Amino acid sequence: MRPYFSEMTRPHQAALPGRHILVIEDDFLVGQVICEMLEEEGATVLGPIGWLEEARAFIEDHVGDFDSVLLDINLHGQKSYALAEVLTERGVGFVFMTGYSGHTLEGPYRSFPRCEKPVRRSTLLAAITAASAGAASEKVKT
Amino acid sequence: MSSPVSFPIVGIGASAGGVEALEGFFRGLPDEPGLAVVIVTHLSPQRESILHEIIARYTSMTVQVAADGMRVDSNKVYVLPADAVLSIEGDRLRIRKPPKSRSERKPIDIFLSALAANQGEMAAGIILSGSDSDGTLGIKAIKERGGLTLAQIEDGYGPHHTEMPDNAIATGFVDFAVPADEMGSKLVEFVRGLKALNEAGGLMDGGEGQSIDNVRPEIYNILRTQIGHDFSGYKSRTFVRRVQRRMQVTQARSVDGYVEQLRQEPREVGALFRDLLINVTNFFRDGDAFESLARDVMPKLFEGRGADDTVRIWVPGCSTGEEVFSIGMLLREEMDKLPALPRVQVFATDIDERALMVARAARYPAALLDSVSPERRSRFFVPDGGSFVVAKEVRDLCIFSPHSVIRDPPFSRINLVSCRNLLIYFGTDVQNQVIPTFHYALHPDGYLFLGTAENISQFDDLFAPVDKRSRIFRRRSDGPTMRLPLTLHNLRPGHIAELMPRQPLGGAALRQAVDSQVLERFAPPHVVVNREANVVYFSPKTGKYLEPPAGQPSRQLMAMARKGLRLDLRTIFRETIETGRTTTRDGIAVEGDDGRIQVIRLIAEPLADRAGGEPLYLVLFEDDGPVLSREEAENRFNTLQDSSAAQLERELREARDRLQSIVEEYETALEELKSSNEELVSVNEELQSTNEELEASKEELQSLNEELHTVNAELNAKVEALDRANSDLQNLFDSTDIATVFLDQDLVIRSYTPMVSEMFNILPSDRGRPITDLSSKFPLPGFADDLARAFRENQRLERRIEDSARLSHYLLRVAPYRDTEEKTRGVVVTFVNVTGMVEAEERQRVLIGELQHRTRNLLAVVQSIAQQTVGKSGSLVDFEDRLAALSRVQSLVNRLDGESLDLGDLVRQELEAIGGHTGDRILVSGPPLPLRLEHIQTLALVLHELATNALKHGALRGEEGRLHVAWSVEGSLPGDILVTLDWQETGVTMPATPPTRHGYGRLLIEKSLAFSLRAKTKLAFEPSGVRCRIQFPIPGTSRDETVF
Repeated sequence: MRPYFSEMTRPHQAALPGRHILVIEDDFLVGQVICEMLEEEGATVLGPIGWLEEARAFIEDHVGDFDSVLLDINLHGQKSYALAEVLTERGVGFVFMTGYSGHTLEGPYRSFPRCEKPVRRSTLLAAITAASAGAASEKVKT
Repeated sequence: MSSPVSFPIVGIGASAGGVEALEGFFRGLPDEPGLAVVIVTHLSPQRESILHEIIARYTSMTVQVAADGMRVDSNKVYVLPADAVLSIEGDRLRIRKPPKSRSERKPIDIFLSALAANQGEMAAGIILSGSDSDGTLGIKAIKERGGLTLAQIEDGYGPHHTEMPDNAIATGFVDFAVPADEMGSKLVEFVRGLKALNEAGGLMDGGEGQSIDNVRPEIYNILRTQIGHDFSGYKSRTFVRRVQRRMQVTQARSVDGYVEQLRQEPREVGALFRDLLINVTNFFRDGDAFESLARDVMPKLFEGRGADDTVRIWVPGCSTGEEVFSIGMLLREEMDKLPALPRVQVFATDIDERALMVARAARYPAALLDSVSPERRSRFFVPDGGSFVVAKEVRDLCIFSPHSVIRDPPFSRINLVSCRNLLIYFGTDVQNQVIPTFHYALHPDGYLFLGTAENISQFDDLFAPVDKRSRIFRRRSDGPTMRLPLTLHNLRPGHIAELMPRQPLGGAALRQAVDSQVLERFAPPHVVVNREANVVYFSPKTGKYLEPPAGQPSRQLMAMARKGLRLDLRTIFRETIETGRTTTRDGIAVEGDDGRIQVIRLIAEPLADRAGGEPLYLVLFEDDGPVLSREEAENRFNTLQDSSAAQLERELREARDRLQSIVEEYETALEELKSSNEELVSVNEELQSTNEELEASKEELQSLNEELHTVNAELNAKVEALDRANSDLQNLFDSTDIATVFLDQDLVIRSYTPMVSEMFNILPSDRGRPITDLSSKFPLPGFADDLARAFRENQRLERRIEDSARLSHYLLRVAPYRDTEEKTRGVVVTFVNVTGMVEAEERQRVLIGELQHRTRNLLAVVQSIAQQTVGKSGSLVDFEDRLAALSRVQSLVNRLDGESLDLGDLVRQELEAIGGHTGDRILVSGPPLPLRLEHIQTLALVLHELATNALKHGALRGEEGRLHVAWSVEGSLPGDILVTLDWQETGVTMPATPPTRHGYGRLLIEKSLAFSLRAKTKLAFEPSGVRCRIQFPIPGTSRDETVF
């Protein structure tokens, strides 16, 4: 695989080795990009899943198979906040991916880590790191 | 001022009917009379006069229309032009435009008084026919300066309107009241007389003047003996001038000749006396006297009088009003110093109604104002044209009414009587009636102000002098009570005929003396009484029959009669009055002081030889026999009559006594009635004066009323306009959706629009209540603070408020209510319903969010395509093509704007984009199928990949290949449906090996649809070409979905 943008021209170390990351994204093409980025960083990618109900079922069935989730807010016209609730309950770190600006998010979810589309690799990595740390501290608290 | 001309100038005043009178005048005037004539008429300002042409027919003298600066020449006639006020300075005529203000002008007064001031003795004034009082003051002015005055009386040439000349004559200042055609000869004599005087060496200081000076004491003497007035205190210069004037008028040849004339003709003495008294017209005549009046009397008049009191002043014989207004000005000046003003009434009376008209008009030519100080002139006079009008503040104090101080009952409770230069016209007897009248009229401690030449004569028991030199007196209240003389002689002031010269004691007087002595000794005692039985004459020795009654001195005969006499006296006196014959009664017993009885005979008879006078009666007391003692008298009666008669006699006497007491009671009652009557008469007199004043006021009110009507009409029009504006406003209020409420400074509701009922539970009856008392229909937190802030900061403020129950939003605006003076008088509170706006804003916010979402997603898609195409050995051209496909989709989507896109259109567009046209080679078929937005992008990209592939490697590459795109639908809208699309290429020579192209295109075709649309895709490379089947569900619209 060849890096194709300037930042990719530099040789780099994989940032997410051994991580299992679930990608929930309704757009096939966008999902492709995210998945490739994560794989390049050494992560094992689950998904992408494009439908809300499928994603909910997958999370129920495969808890423990992934340590982080990238979550698109709009899944074929349906908001994915319900999934965020489930993930928070389970103590799984997640990152919102959205085309919306921060202020259009519903109130309680504004404080969660968030990546705005189109996603830059560095932003994505920072968000995943933050999500993991946040989820860990939640766990410690509870 | 250039020097006056040396020939006389005659000023003629004429008005209505003047043309005929002028004709008469000029017919009587010779062709070259040696004087100039100036004619002043009352012309309508609009009409061009042809008067000069008319006059030119009557005279051979040159007739000119007067012009400003025109020189006056002898033997010429000058006529006043239309719409001008004429005056004279030196030898030049002066013309001014009259004031536009009013029609009421006195052009004749103005010119004649200017002529008098300019020409002095060389002036003559003539008043011809006219209906006005114009000219009266002018005649006075000319007379005062020694000029000649004439007025027209009835003859062949009119006057048709006698008012104007009659007014002039009534002033007593007209030298000749003659028909118009006789005036010429009088003027010629006047000119001749002047010439003679001039030739004798100057008018004033020459020989004649000198010789008059020499005979002055003699003339004084004649006047003193005949008239009883001493002129020796007069200014000699004035005196000489007046005598010269009389000499001119009488055409006396020499001074001595005139003195002789005076001795022989009492009439001429009267005329001279009258001329000497001219100069009554000045304001503040005898300035010193008025000064002392202002200093000594005015403050006393107001002393101790508050706003509820009245100061009453009476000016009898006020003539043309100068004295009245002088006093009025002094009163005003005094009132300036006072904090509280009492009511002030100045009753100004005169018998001459015409003089009163002049006074009521209160309009005087400038020449008469010489003696008024500049300060008073500017304060109390309003210049109007050539005249000056007395200011309203002075005029309003004065009440003018016709009244004779001699004939009519006087006013009462007066504080000051100012009667200057009236008494000198009266004889002593009239003066003796008038002065007690003043005493009666005056309030105790009232003041009397007389002319310099007048005095209170013998009535110093009635008046005490305050300032002897200025003739100011004060009423004595301790003097005898004077009964008001109700019946006085009918004497008019100014009528010289009444001034009877005193006859010296002659031969007849001797006989009278003898007669009286004989009468005194031998005639029986008697008295002369008038109708009221007041004694006017006592003979000697009446004491036996009469004695003064107790109480106040009285001349009442019945009261004086001794006991036993009264009843008989009354009986025969009444009989005499009733029958007019002599009545006699015998045998009346009179009881003397010593108790002795005298029997007398009483005779009463009318006094003969009293033609025209008050009827008088003679009452004689004739003794019958000696004085007897009571016993003797009774014996005497007893011898005459028997005892029964004596008995009757006694009864009769008792009856008489009773009658006597009844009569006395009756008399007392009568006395009381009389004094009540007098009081009533005085009050009536005052009422009449007030009535006159009211009449004048009524006229003013009428004109005021007319003005008010006009103003009212204007106001009505304004009210209508206001009504319309109000109705517009009301309609605006009713139709507006904006809730508006007007509050005053105390937050009280003044008015509101109906929409306010959406905010507050408000009723029409809530107007006038504070808004804070009302309950609002939804919570209005901070509303009171908003109101307070609007008042405090005096600025409008706006705030959004929400009615959460009804999901309504309002814009609350509180603005200060400013009146026309930009002062804050309250606030205007408005509620604008902005619910629609708020909802639209919310929608817009969502829209923008969605737009952003779409854009960002699109960018992510672009990122993906770039990564997959360029980053993986794909060419830049492929990337550009895919980007173009994406772009086409976007433009389709943008065009859609909510509607759906047909699948056929999408297919055709993708084929056309690569240059393929449907026709023989390309066949597109299928039912109309509206696509949703979420399907379009992925589907378009897949179709693009298929079409690009067909162009590069498949059916569209060569000439033989064919492409068939067909789709079918299972199920129907709005339920769930399943779409099956077949892409079939034929006639293609496929390479031996299937294409190695497992790249991005294929990934898209096989995976993306499955992922995004839950589609089933089958791609096959058959020998005749590519075949691709895509099956995807479209869920029914019943599913809940967002806008996009």
